[in-house]
Amino acid sequence: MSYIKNIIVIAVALLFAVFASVDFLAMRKAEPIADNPNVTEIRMLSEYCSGLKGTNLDTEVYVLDSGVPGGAMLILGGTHPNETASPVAAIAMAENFKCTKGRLFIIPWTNKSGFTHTSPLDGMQDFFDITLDDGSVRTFRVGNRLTNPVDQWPDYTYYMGSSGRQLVGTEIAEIRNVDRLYYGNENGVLTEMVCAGVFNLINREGINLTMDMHEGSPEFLYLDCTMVNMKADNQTAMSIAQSMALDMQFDDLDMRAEYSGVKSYGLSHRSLGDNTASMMTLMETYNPSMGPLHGKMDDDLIVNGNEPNYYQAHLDGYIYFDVPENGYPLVQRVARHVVCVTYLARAYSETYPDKAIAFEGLGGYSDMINAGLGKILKPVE
Amino acid sequence: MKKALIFVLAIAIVFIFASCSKGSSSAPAASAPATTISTAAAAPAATTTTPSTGTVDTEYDPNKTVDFQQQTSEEVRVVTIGTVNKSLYSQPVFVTSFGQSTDAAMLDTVMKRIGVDYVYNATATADALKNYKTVVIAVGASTKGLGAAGISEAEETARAKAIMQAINESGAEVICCHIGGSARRGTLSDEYADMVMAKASYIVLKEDANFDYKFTKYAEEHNLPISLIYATKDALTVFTDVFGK
Repeated sequence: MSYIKNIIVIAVALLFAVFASVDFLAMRKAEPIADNPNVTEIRMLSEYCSGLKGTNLDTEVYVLDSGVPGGAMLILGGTHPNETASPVAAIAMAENFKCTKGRLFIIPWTNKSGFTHTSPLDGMQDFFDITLDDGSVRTFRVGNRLTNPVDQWPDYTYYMGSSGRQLVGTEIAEIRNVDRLYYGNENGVLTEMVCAGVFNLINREGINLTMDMHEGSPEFLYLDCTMVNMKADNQTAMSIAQSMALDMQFDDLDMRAEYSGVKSYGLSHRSLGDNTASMMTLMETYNPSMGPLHGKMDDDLIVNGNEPNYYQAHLDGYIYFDVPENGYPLVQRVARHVVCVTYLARAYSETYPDKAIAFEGLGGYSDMINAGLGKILKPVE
Repeated sequence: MKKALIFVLAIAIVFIFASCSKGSSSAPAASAPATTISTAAAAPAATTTTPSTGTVDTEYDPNKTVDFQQQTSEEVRVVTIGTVNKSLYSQPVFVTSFGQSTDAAMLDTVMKRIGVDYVYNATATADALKNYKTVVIAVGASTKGLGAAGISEAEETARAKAIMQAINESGAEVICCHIGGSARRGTLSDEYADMVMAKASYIVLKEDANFDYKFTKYAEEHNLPISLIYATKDALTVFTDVFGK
């Protein structure tokens, strides 16, 4: 009799597990990106690193070729999927941009596997919704900053990346972090192959300028800041970044530029900057859902970026970042990324007119804020 | 056999649940009541703290407050104390850095936009300044900047001293430019600022760096004109006034 009772309990539990699994597996389906007639080609990153073919880490590369000679720019979104403004900004650019000079490469989901799981026990949710102006709803995944262990497992006990970064002890999980394994290894772990794909793309396509879009928790000291790799013989890179920062300041947007840390091995701005000809930059915006002080995790926190705990912590002098009282909505963070990319390309083009890169389609910061994500993002099937 | 089967299924379910952990909108995880962090270091109005942003030697103490009345604001973006004798500053201008912060690169951008006839070299040696009658020096130490330039603190200090020696000999006019704000305060940054102010005929300062009145006090004691700016971008206004055509 007790045996039948046990079976019933397990059957009920399995029923719950089935529903949970369906929800969990839904994260493996990428959110659609609306068609943009100005996208000239959609490639897969496996074209640049064959080991990715057929894996959950192979990812789309949107190519916008103006047909006008100039430079080439690469925009990385979703290196860390839970840094929500990054993939959403990349998707917004892929759906709206028209390249008018040179070529533009956009990767919306750089770590595609990271979008297929959440952070267990971290109070994260899996999806959030944005209602468009036409009433339709687009759903986006929150994801995790690391590759899904289903795709890459086990984490080694010791790892030496191509950059010389050693992973040991508690840092070993970073072996599934794209932004610790640059400049990659075509024969390494899958996450490292993504890095190798980006590295090869930069080299083969002659990318002149790269932006890796990120967000950080409120405790992070480099928010609203662009990291720049200044190659030993080229102080011009920082001047280009400062020109972008000055333009953003004139839009009343706080922005500063900082040098890439000398020992930031494996990070895109450091290791791709050191090992490719591209000018490497990485920008961070504030994301309260990423910090340990966040309260209730819901669409409101992710989309409206309003976390009173952090505002209070800032008032009390514990958070350096100037936390806005009414939150830092996703649309502002997305617009900030788009503006940063735009001004950076402009400053680069002014410095190197023969490698100019120009694009349009989303207007300026205030245009995007006025439009809102409901208009910036396009309806999809 | 049946018990073993039940045990295996139970373990499998545990793993399934663990891997499917989905945060719900009602999850209170990681919430921290504001009361736990509220009043310990509350700063009264009209005082400010001195935040650290990773510069060489700034020590962040959230409990350290000083009385500081800022003169610039969103509305009053530039305050100049004293009279700036613009005729002193002939072009071409040489722009360099003491401390390798990013502020010198910002000055490069500012000069370019104004259309100043200038040369920018953040790591210039004393010899490079020989033919310039006006030298603008961005003071502020940055560990990252020194690292990027491959220069040690000792080497940077020696370079700074050599440049100041050369300026003493050439008689060039010096503008001391501190536009990085409070993040560029600390032992090494202050050492560079002191070095440059001693020869400067004009100081440009992002005012939040003046939280202890170091710069305005020095300017007053030495009868130097000083322009306080509210934000870095306001350097464009100041230098347009000095060098603009």
